Amino acid sequence: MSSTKDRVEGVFRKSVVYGNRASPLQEKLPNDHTHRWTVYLRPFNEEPLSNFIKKVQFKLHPDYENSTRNVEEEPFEVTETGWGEFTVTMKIYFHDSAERQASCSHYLALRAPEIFKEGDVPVIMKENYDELVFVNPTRRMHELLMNTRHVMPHNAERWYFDYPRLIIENQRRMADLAEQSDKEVSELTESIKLIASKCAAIREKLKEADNSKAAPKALKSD
Amino acid sequence: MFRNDVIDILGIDSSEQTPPEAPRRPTKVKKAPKRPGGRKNTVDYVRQLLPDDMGINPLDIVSQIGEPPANHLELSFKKFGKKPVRKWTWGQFTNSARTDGLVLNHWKRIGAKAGDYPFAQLNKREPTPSYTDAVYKVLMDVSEVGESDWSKEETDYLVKLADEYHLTWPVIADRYDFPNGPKRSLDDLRARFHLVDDAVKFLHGYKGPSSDFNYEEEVKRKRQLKNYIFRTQEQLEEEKTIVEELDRIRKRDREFLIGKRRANIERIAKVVASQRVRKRVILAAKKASSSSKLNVASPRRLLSPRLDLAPPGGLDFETMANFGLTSKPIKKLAVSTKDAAYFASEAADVSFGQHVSKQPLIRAVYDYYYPLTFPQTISNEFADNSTEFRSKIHCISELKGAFMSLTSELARLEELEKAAGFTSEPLPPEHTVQHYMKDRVTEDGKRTYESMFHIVPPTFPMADCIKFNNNGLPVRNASSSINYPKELSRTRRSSTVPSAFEQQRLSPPPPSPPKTVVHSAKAPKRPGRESLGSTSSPAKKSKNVVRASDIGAPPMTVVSPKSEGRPARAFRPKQLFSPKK
Repeated sequence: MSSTKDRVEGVFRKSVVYGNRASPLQEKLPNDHTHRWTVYLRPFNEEPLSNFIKKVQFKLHPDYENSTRNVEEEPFEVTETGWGEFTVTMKIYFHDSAERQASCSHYLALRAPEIFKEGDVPVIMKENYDELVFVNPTRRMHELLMNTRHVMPHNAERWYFDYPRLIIENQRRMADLAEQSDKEVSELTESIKLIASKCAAIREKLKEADNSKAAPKALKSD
Repeated sequence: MFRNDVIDILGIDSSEQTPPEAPRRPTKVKKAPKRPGGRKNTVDYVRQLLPDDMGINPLDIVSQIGEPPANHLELSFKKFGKKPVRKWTWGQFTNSARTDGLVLNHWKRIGAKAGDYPFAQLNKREPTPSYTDAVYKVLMDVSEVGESDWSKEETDYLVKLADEYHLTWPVIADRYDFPNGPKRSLDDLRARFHLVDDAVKFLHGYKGPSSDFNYEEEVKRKRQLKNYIFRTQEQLEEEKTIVEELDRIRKRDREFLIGKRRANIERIAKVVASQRVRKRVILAAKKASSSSKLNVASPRRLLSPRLDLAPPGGLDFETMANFGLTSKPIKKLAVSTKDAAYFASEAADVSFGQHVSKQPLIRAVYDYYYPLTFPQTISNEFADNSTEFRSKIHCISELKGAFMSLTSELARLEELEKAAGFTSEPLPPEHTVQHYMKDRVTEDGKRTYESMFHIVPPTFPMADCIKFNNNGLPVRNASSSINYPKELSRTRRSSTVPSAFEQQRLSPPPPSPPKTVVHSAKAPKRPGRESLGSTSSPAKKSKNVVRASDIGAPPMTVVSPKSEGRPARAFRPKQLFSPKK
């Protein structure tokens, strides 16, 4: 029996992309809906997420009927019509229920930021690249995560955005910033120490000079 | 009569007067007659009060005094004189306004004009419509008169009653009893009456105003009045509380507005005050750098009072240094230390828990360097680095505050040192404010970012922020709270950050930012300016734009739609500090 109490040490990652695409409808529906949108969670590489994801729970705006949509098989997505933008929260349940659920939120975009055309129809697409991080997963999860059957690397043609470049750029930028902040802190600390010692030195000098020039009425020392 | 005038004119003392003759007829002006019966008049009283030898004429005084009000009892006597009283007799009378010939009695004055009962003329009667059967028939056809359940008989009855009771509707309604007729309310009766009245008048060519009786309105009005009059105690109390509540709400709103206005005023006042403070700091910085010689005559004055070794404002450099040295980064929050599964974005977005006061600053700096663009790409490393970056932002602010305070303190001490005749070694250049304001280049030299020192506003140390623990080492005094700045004092420079849309396209990366001398020339002014808000910087910016272009600055860099277009500023020779090396 696989003991779920045992955990494999280490940090494991699975790259995903979540977001939504939306298109305006040709004609407004009688319930005032103007767009059709799909919110989804897709694997970044070519792999079946259902290997380790049991279900994805999409929480839509309460105005929608059954605003909690559970999707238990790929593709993990929800398509609906609507007129307004709101935040969709996605909660990921893993096959091993010992593992905590991961959740993320996405602000559904109907008008911005990216527009391209598919034939005649404008399409709005807003996506986020993210990574599911597993810290010390259970043995079972580890098995599922390491299952490399049907796993192929990222296929750039299936994506609109240039993720490899973006990922590297942003990562590098943030690494730069972290390093810079570290450096500035240590440099400033050094400077402060130096200036303080200089101040002390001057004060000593002045005190001595003052004392030697002091009139018979000696001034109190601090 | 003449006598008084003579006395008046000549100003003869009235005590010399002989008493006048027998009581005269009352004249308009009474100057000094003695009243019969020994009553004193005003002059006598005045004379009594004044000592005789003062030489004041009592008449002068009396003429200033007004006459006392007349005694009305005497007045009527005077008015009506001593004629004998007129006689009255008890007798009968009739009232021509009455129709029943009632005879009553009352007092009549003998000798008065006989005539009709005087109040009979007030008996004004509102005329009621009179119509013949033929007229009525016409009305039935022509107007709405026929469209109701009122028969002619009933209408006649109503008119008769109205006539009888002088159109006093409550009475009419009470007495109204048409045999076998339906129940009629007061308003019904009135409506019918006025309908008929108006119709008859119209037929006869009456051009004046109509009765204007609005049945619906009357019913409504009476109902409202009834409800109003017969409110219960509970309703009254309820109304009272509601009115009180309304007053309270209005008062609260008013006070809130007043508070807001006051807050605005305070904010403006603070800015004005801070500008004054800023001037002082700038002057201090100028003094530190300028090579002006001190007045030789005053070195002793500088040294002798011991107070000069203590800095103005009460903070000594040790406290400032300790404030900087005890600055600690926020410990990473433990999303990732437990065994867990989570999105990297959850880890990157970690909120800093109890460090609420630091949040706005952290947010502002983060957004400055890393504006939100889509698509976001958050990997695990990204999350780690982002947390590390954000944990140190407030440290930079504290360190900057300590550093700048120490710099100005050092400058002040160096002045004293120079005045005392010593020479001082200048600070090595990598420990000056200018150095820290410069942009920073990454290790591989490929990318440049503005220094955090440049961007982050300082948090200055306060007097009681440091205390010493058991080991004699300085620690932060937890009870003194630090106010971190909430905003940056600058908007984003256009050249460093590509616009949101540009970043997403499958296009070549944006051009690397030109390495122009943009801000270092203005660096020395920064310590003052940045510490205290940015209200005057927009104005200053525009001024600088003009001057830069005058000197012939390099052309404008790529301007994104978001930030304001600011040309890169060239070195301005008038600066006190040396240009970037």
